[in-house]
Order: sequence, then structure tokens, then C-alpha cells
Amino acid sequence: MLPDPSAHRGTSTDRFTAAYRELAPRVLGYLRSHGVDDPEAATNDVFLALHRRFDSIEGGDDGVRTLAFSIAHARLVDFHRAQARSPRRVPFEAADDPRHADSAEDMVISAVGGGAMSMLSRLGDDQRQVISLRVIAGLSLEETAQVMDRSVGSIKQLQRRGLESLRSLLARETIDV
Amino acid sequence: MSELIDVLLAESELPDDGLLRDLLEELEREATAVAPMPSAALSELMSPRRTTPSHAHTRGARRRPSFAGRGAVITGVVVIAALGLGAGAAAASPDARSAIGAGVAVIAHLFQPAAAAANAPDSGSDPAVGATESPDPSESPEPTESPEPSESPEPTPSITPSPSDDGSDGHGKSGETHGNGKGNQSGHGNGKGQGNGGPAPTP
Repeated sequence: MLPDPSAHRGTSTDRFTAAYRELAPRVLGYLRSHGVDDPEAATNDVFLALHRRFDSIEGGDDGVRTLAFSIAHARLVDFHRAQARSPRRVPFEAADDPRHADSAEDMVISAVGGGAMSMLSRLGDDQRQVISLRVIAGLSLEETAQVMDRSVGSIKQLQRRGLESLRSLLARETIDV
Repeated sequence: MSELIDVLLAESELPDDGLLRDLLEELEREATAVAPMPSAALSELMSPRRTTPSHAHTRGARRRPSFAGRGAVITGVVVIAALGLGAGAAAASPDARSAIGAGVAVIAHLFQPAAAAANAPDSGSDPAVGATESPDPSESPEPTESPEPSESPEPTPSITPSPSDDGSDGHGKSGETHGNGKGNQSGHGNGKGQGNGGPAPTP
């Protein structure tokens, strides 16, 4: 929800600036939660594309939010397709090695907080997208279905499965700690 | 946003799961904690300088001249049109043409006496006055006594040439000069000429 509707009165530039301030952290978080290489650059691209269509957006703040995340979702799909065509080559890092075991500090930090994003990343792609669009982007069921080009029923099903997966992961983490 | 999380849990039939709610709230805080820096292009789009003249920077507004410039152009066109209409109306009106003709004659008359005096030094400065008044009887013998106008086969001007002038030459010259002058100035000359036609000097 965009916080103050009165802040969006005025010129188009004022409304776009207010929309950026409200939505940019959420767009960045959405792109980060899906492992985009350069999420800040992708966020800027999303808002540049949004600005081109900003004056023709219908539906007020909800329309702006839905379009912003539709663009972000399209960028995410493009990113994953590009990743599939040409796998990224990265230097070896010990932390990325599956044989790597968390240190005691990492486990404590994960238990205290800061592990919600990593827990989200363990979900499947569709479940992760639905949960991130609902929680991080703040979209409704219908808006999420519109962004992902799916039916509301399928979104609701993915959402329920995703939440159950998260609860299972959370219970497992609690037992481990 | 916690309201949305409550709705989300209720939709998934998990309304009382506190751990899951805490996890989702933490996820939202963690994901939205970092505000990205806008790029240069995006900063330009959000610059306050674009706020005020956003509509004045359109191409049409830039090409359109200022109101003062347009006013000057319109005024110039109106003045030129009015001058053209005035000139056309003056040329089309007979009164205006006669007035202009009279003005031209007056201007020409200012230069004419000197030329007339050079050609006929004995005649008066005013041809009309000379025609009505014949101060010198020798110039016009018997100006008032013309018992037989028919004796003069042709009317002669009221002002007779000086004796020193050659008959034919002087008659023709003065006739041309003063006849034109009287005709232009008044109608007295013609009447008097007809009356005095008899005593036309003959060599």
C-alpha cells in the first residue's frame, strides 16, 4: 500500500518520485529474493520502463504497484531464460560449496534472524514467486495472478503449499537449533 | 503490511500460526530494508526541475513564439492592411481624385508664375486678373467696345499679346499659355474671350 494518498497529488514527476520511494525497496527485495545478478541495476530498469507508461496507468496506486511488479517479474523471467542459455561462470567460493558447513556464528545468526530470505530461497520457483509477491510486493491474490498470468485458484494453491513448506522448514530449523 | 500477512494466513487456513507470521514479517522487513540508489537517468526523471515546466517543455511550446512577438506581428499586418485599404479607397473615390488633382495643381502653380513671367513678361502675375482687368489699353484696343463679335472669326484670348511679339507666334504662345491657365483656374476667361473676340489684334 502506498502510504499517503495526498503525497501522490501534484505533478506526474511528484507522483512518480513517491511511487519510486515506496516501491523501489520492494522491487529490489523481490529481485534479490530470486537471485538476480545485479538487483539494483534491474530495479532501475524496472522504474525506467514504468516511467514510460506512468501517465497512462489506470487504477491509481494499485495499478502502479501491479505494473511495477509485472515489469519486475518480466525482467526476472528474462534473467532466468538468459541464465538457462548461457550459464554464469563464477570463481570458486568456499561458502558456495555444498560441502561447506555453517559455522556456529552463522547458525546463531540464522536462528536469531536474517534467515527469512534464505529460507524463502529454498522454496520452488513458483511458490517462491507467489510468497514474495504477496509478502514483499504486497500484492493481493488477484494482482499476483495478473502478474504471473495465472488463475487466482492456482495462485491460492501455490500460496498454501508455499506457506506449508515454510512452516516445515521453520519447524525443522527450530528442532535443529 | 501485517494486515496483509493476516489475510494471507487466513486464505491459506493458517490463521493461528504465530511462528509463520513472525517469519513472514521478518521476510518483509529483510527484503525491504535496503533502498536502492536511483541511476543517473532515473534521478533526472525525478528531478524537481522537471516538475514546474514539464508541460512548457513540449516541442509545440518551444516552437511557438511569445505572446508579445505574436502581438507585434499581428499589429504590423493590421497596419499594412489599413494602409492598403486607405490607398485603394482614395484611388477609387472621384472626390478624392479631384482633391488630389487640386492639390497637385496648387503645388504646380507655386512653380508656374516664374515660368509664365519668363515667357510673357508684360502679362500680370495672375492670368485671371489680367483677363478681367486690362490695365494697358494699348495691349487690348477697344476691349469693351466690340459691336460686331462676328467680325472676329475666331475667339481670342482676352489678353492680347504685347506689340513686340510676333503676331502668329505671340498669339499662339499666349493662347496656349493663358488659355490653359484660365481654363484651369476659372471660367471667366472663356466668357470674356468670346465677348472680346472681335478686336483680335492682327499684324
